[in-house]
Amino acid sequence: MSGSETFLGGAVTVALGLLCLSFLVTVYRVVRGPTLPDRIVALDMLVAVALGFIAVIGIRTGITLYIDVAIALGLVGFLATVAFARFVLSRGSYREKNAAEGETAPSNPEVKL
Amino acid sequence: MTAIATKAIQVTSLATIFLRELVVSSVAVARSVLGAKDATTSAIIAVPIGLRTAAGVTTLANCVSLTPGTTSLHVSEDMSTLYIHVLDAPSADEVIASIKSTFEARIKEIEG
Amino acid sequence: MTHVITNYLTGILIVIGAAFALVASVGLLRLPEFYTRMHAASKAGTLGACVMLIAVAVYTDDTAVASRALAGVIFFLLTAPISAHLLAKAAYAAGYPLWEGSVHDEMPPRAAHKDE
Repeated sequence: MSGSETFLGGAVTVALGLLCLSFLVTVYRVVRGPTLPDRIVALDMLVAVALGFIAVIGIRTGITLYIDVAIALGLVGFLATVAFARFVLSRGSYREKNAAEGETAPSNPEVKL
Repeated sequence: MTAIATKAIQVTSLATIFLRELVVSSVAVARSVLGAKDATTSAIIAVPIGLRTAAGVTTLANCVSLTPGTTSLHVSEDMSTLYIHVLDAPSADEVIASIKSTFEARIKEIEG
Repeated sequence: MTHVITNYLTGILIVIGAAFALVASVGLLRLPEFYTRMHAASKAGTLGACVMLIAVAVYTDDTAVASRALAGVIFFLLTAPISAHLLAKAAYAAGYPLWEGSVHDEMPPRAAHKDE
């Protein structure tokens, strides 16, 4: 109809395109991620991208109930990341698993200067 | 009454600075992401802090996490040192000085 | 008239937010190791999601919806650094090494293990 509505429609399309691209890139990191924390960070990022999708779709359809979905998703994403962090901690030492150092306690990772 | 008003002004100014720093930091991250791959020299730096309350330390750690190039990694048990991971650290002292002047001084004021 | 302004503002905000989300995910792809990737996700990612939620708050006419969107923004701003911090601390405590490009490590050995 008016110029501003055409602009908004175009902006929604562009934003959806950018979000799709970032979703795919993040999924690549989840699949590829060499270590467990890499995958968890990527999953956390997926939640942020999904929040963006929800906001843009909410604007496009005008259904404001999507905002409640976004809040609930944010809560679930936070709890999932916290639970995963505890899991990383309880799973034990990365170095022990990789270097097979035996019974030594996890030590400070050496930093190459 | 005036004490509450001063505190409200201090909290608002901290929040404003925090939001500005968040935007600056996202632009900085964008630049370092899209720039040359070898430009980043990351590091873990110990920042001595002088805050008394747990709430103050939590606020500082949260602010640090969302500001240019730094993420809080660990707080020592006696709450005297904050360990931060820095994305691009040309000098440790500069990072420490900027955290102290931007956030710690203001949080200290609010703590009273 | 106000509709014209909110439409333009909303359009600009959602494109900016989506661009920040894209920058964050490109950061996840390009940065060398976990600790630096976390920077990209916890800053640019958070800002991207928040800007898009603010766009909803700008767009809607309903104050109840706008206030819920802003509450979501505040919630996300408060929780994103906490989850990043917890994850980094857990990874450090579990011994995931820093990248070769790192210049200092001032964290004392086993500091992260003490209070767990």
